[in-house]
Amino acid sequence: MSSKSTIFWRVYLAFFTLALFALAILAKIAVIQTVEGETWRALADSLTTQYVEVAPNRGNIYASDGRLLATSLYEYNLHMDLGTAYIKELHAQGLLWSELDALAGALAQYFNGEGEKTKWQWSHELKSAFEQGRRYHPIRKTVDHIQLKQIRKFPLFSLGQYKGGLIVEQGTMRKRPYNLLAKRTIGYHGDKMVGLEGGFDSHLAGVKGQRLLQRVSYKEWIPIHDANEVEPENGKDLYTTLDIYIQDFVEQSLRQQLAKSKADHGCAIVMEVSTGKVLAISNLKTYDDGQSVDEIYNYAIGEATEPGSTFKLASLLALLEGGYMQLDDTVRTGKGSQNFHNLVMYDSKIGGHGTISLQKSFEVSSNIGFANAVGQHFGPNESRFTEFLQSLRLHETLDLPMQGEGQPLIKTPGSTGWSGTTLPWMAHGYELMLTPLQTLMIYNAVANNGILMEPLFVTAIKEVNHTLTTFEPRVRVQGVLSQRTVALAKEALVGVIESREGTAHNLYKPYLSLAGKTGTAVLEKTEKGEKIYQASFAGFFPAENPKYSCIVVINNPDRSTWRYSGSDVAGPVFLGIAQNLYSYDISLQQPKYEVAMENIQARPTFLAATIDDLSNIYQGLGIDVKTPAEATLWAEPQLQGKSIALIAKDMPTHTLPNLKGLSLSDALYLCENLGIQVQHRGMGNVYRQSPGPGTDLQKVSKVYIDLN
Amino acid sequence: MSNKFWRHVDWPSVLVYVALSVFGIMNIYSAEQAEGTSILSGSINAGQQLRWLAVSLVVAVLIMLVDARFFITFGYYLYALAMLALVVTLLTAPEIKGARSWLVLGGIKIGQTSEFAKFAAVLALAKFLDGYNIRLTQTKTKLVAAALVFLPAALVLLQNDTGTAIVFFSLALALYREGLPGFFIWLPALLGGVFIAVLLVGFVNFAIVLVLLIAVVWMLASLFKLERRLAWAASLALLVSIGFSYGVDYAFYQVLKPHQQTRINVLIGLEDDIKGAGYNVHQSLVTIGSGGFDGKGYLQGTQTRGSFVPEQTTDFIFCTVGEEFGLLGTGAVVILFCFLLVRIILVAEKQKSTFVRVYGYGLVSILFFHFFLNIAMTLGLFPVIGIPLPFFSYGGSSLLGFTILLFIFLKLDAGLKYYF
Repeated sequence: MSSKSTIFWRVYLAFFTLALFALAILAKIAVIQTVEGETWRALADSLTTQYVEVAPNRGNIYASDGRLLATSLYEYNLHMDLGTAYIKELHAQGLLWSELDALAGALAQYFNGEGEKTKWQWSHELKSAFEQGRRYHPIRKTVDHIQLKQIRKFPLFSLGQYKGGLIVEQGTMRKRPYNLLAKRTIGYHGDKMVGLEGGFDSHLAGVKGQRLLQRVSYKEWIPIHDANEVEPENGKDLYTTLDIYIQDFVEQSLRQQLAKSKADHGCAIVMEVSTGKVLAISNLKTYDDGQSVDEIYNYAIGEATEPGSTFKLASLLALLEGGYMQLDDTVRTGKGSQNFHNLVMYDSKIGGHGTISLQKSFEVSSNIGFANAVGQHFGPNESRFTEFLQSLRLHETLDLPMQGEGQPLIKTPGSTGWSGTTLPWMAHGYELMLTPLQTLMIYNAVANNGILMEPLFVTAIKEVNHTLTTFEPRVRVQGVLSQRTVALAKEALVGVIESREGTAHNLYKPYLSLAGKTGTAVLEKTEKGEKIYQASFAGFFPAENPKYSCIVVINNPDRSTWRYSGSDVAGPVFLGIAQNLYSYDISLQQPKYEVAMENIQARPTFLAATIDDLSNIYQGLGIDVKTPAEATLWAEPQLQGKSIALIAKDMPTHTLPNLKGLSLSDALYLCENLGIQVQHRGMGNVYRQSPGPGTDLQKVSKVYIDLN
Repeated sequence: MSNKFWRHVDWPSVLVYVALSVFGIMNIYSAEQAEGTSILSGSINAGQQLRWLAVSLVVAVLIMLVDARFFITFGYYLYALAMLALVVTLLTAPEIKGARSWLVLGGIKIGQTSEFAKFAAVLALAKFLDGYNIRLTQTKTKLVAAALVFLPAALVLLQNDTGTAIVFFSLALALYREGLPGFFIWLPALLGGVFIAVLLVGFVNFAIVLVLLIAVVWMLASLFKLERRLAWAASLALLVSIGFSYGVDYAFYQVLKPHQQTRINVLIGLEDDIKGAGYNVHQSLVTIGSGGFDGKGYLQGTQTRGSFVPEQTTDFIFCTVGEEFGLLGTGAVVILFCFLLVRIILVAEKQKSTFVRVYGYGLVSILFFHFFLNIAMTLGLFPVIGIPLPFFSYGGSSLLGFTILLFIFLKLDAGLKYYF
């Protein structure tokens, strides 16, 4: 082959190779775009569309009166896209730095306070984020709606996401409007399921929906259809038995006492006797500073300890129900100490009480007295004692709608740990374990005429206003305690407070009718040999017709004051709760009220009111009322002998009426009907007004009133 | 410059050049989703590229105004200058995306010097082969020619820019046209085959096959009474192959970096890693494939909008064409490139001057390599080595470099016609 033909051959080869490669590429492109086109397109669609979860609204938790205990609010997480075209343009024009400085200034001014970034720090951070090309730079987490509205006015951010770079992502946060109130009982959901939030999570959570989104540009997704592909099902609402008012003063009382006695932690429960409804449950832990408290654990439900003397009620019930003893039967308490199987038991009174009645033994809380009484009557057949306790189902956990209930322990003869000391120690509340709630159930049963109720936390699950499930009060144990036993036990419990020697006589108030029992248990000894006490008080009121039962347990009060007993530490909390409940629950005052009715005297307390209101009030008080013949709206009451005559009263329509003596609602009604605004101060009835009565209405737009 | 000169300019090539560049800018604009921002804005890549196109056109005109003999006379000097720039770059460049290819002087980014080394290498090679009594059958000629190619390739390789380094070896095609023995073309091809085979079946298996082949050769030799010398030669070749394949095995696992190994493995189908190394290619295929026959329309590409394909304004710009203009668009781009390449070969073959012909073939080789490898890369036919699509991809140095490369040729063609 000549060199020339070789060259030609090579040129052709060059063309051929070029053609071959070009065809190969074209063929490949054609195959990808046409033959496989559908496949790739489907894949592309799947990459540019996605299902996102649409979170349902979590159900609310309500107090018994419909107030919100827990609800979900929107919160926002903020990021900044520092790579928008607009920001780059600003940078190209040399304007970005000053804009970022302005934004930094606004951020630093808005989020001021300890640990917040200064303007300089913000500015530095934003600028370096820009230089690093950050398109998702975190600005702030968990901002609420009001804050977001402000932040949207900041420099750059006011221009929106695609220019100014503010990226807003919405989430929800759980809020408890009453903050600490019953925090642990309301609980949490999420990684840890605590309290009612945890227990009823399946109802509260709702069902997630799905929505198909299509990507239309960088980070921008729009829904393909108007409606969600799968609509989320919102969570159901929970109506609890908790009463915000009671919860509030229970917590206040407990908190004050914790601070006073420098205790480690404490809890208190208030229960409605007839239904077992838990009206308030408070668990407070004191922080090291001795002042601030928090609910970090549900002691009332979770902490099973040796209850101590509050358990003597169970022993008393066993002795009475078995017919072994009457309240006036005597027991030996000796000189304040007695040896049981080489273990010495002490009474708190040095020198002892000698031989006293069973009731007295209960009132003064004699450990030895109960150990002897129980020992004497159940000693020959110990299991009858434990069987009685089991018949009250004290050895079983309660049926609670939340996790973490403490396991009760009631030993039985022959079981591990049962020894010669077990029975005498069980008799006064040791060698057994109960949670505060479990202990309260015994007191509630006595208060409830022997019927032991299941504790009730939730009354209904509702969807909007449609009730899905109701939870009725349920009887846990019935027929174990006779009416006679219950009556005697009540008598003994009242004696603890009303008897001069009763351990809780310090709680006695003539106008309150309380029944209860103190408990001062030694839980353990520290390394130094110092005892850790648990002071408790359990009881109910009013004693003769109990409506509320309550237990207060305070753990490790400061011993330096020598005031660490149940009566000194837990009793005052119980008393405080009872006093508050007496003033809160009018029905408790009924009996005393009836006595007062006989002495009631007619008195014209109102200077003026509507005829309907006045006649209702006086009739309600059992006072004769004479209504006027004229059909007027307003009347003035006047005393006529022992009855009240209502004198018809015309209110002026062109001048300002005399508001003195009216209730606020009447004053408002009257003035607003005349087209006058009212600004008021104080409570009670109107005692002065400005402008004065008779002022021409044309000159008045607003009237100021003081009430007293 | 008279009208006569401008008449000699190969206008079809210029037209294709402009068409590709403008279409490229359109696609860059789409790929960076800068709607709302004017294409004239300097804050976006498309606007930058538009400025670079203007600069390139000015440079092209300047080239047209310079005496054609300048490039012939100063070929070596330009080469020396380019090599110097490569060395300076290598020593001073900051690392950008893993490569040290940007020359930065006084804080100003001058450009990717390797882009300019391309035309310098072609010029030097053309000048050398144009020399008196130079034939590529001579060993010395081969060595010098090889040195001219290897020097810039080595410097660029040191800059960690493997893709561009490979491009220099495409100049072997120009040498082949000028009479380089075919051995130099098919041997690398054969070795490439061995390379892939070793990776596919593993060194041990491959070696066993080769040893069996030696046995077969000797069996056949004795059966058909072939010359022993032939059998020895075949055996030797196979033994060398075993040695080479061991070298491949060693080089692959000991020399190549993990990400390079993965890329090769993905390419030859040993790994299917659509989240990692294969991610780019997978996304690229989805993007091109979903374009179908007539595309989704300009600025309507869902994949392009979603920024799924990395480097979509530069190395993967072809995806945008595929998605938004479909087979019609990709076909048009391929045809335009083929037209340009064929046109250059035809023009080169018409030249009386060896210099211009060699330059023309050098230009074709480099353009062809870029064009073919870039598109093959987006189609998953070749590993992702990161070389731009000429005139098309975003990048000022690249556009200017290719413009100079092309217009020097057009100047040489028109100018020499004019002079001679």
